[in-house]
Amino acid sequence: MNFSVLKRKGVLLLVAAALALAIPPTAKALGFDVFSAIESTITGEIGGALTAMNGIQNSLRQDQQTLLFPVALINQAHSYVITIMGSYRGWMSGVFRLPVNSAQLTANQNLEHAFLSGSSASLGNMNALYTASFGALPTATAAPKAHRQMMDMNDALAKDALARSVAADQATTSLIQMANQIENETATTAPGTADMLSATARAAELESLAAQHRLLASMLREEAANLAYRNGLRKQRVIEALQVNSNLKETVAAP
Amino acid sequence: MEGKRTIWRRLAPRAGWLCAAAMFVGFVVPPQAHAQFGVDIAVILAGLQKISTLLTSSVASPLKQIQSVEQDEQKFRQTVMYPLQAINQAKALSASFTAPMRNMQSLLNLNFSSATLPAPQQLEQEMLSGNPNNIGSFGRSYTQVYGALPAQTSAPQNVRNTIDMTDAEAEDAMKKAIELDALATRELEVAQSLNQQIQAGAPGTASILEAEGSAWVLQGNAYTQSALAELLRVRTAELSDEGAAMKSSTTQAQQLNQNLDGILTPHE
Repeated sequence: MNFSVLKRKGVLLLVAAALALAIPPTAKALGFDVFSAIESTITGEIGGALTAMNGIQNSLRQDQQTLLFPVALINQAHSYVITIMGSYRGWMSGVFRLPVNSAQLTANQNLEHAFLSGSSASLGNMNALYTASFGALPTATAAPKAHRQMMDMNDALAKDALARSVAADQATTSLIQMANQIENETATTAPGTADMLSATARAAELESLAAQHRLLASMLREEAANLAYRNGLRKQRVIEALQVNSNLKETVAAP
Repeated sequence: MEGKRTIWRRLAPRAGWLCAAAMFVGFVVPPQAHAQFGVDIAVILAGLQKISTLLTSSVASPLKQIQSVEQDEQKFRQTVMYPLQAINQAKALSASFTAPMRNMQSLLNLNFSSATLPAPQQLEQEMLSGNPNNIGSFGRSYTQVYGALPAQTSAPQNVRNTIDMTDAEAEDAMKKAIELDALATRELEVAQSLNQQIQAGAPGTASILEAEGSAWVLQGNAYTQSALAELLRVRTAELSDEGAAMKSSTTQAQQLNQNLDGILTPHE
């Protein structure tokens, strides 16, 4: 191979290289690749994900509106509450307010009226009314001190229990009103706010429980006082027996 | 052949220059302005047009549907699940309970003391105090009113046993009553505090407050149970006390019989 042949081939190579550089990469081919990748991403990954999301949202909405909280059933629940209110409230209230007073004598009727009044305002003359029915504490000269103390204690606890029962009746009226108000609200409330009413009812229930505890405490005091009173009498009998023994001994020993 | 060579010889140096020029153009002269990456603007426009169409059909359309679902859901939440009016009404109801609850508290804390003698007054004051600190010294006040246990030489052992046990049951119950009053006072406080929290809360937090209320109600039921157990013990003590009295009468009757037998039996 001589130099001229090499030179000729070199020149041809240079021409080819120059053409290759001078003419840019085929634009159409490059453009086609980039755009088709973007198109594929839009239709495949983004579009597919959005379609799936849409499907899930639709399904959730359907569950929520037709399975969990269908408006028809919400309305049905409201109607049920209204029916219950209409069917029972009046009757329950009527039964609850039936008079139970039974005393026949005037003094006792007055006391009975006071403790069935359901109003703490009637407690002002409870002492006088109680004394009129159950008598006054004997004077110091009329009974032994121990007996007077126990009678005083019994009377005090009995009056306290009566007063507490009046207070409890008044609280009961208040609680029933609260229960009715909660029920009224339940008849129109939404599923999402029903918990708020339940929580309010719980607070009121706790209040009622506290009232029950006050009553139980009073009942315990009365029962305990009754027991203590009987035991106190027993102790008195022991003292009296000792006194009798002592007196007998003195009598026998006397010349 | 010679002619061809001649032509080639003439052309070769020119071709070299031509190539050099072409290479210069290729390297130095920038590509055509309308195609930064060598892409024809028409192709770009066509591609962008297609992307726009695709964005409309594949992205915007489902997004619009999602938005519609979300809007529908939002509307459902705002009008069916959690209407603002219902939230405000529930809060207003809770607020309307504040005054009755306070009244109830003062009503239930009412103490109707009426004892007239000093010792019963002291005992009554301690019994109704609702102060658990009084439990420690309660026995002294009790003894002042109901008397002390007879001394060993003053009464038979069985009588002393019965008296002691009965006193113990009575005192236990009175102390339990003080405890219950103290617990009830705290329960009333918590009930009101819960009611205030509900007014300041939201539908989403109501169930938490309800759970708290339920825990307190359960606790309260436990106290009720404890009080009923104490009540049962007091009543049992009454029953036992009556039984003991009957047994004591029987023993005394036997003793009397023996004594009478001793008197009536002729002595030899």
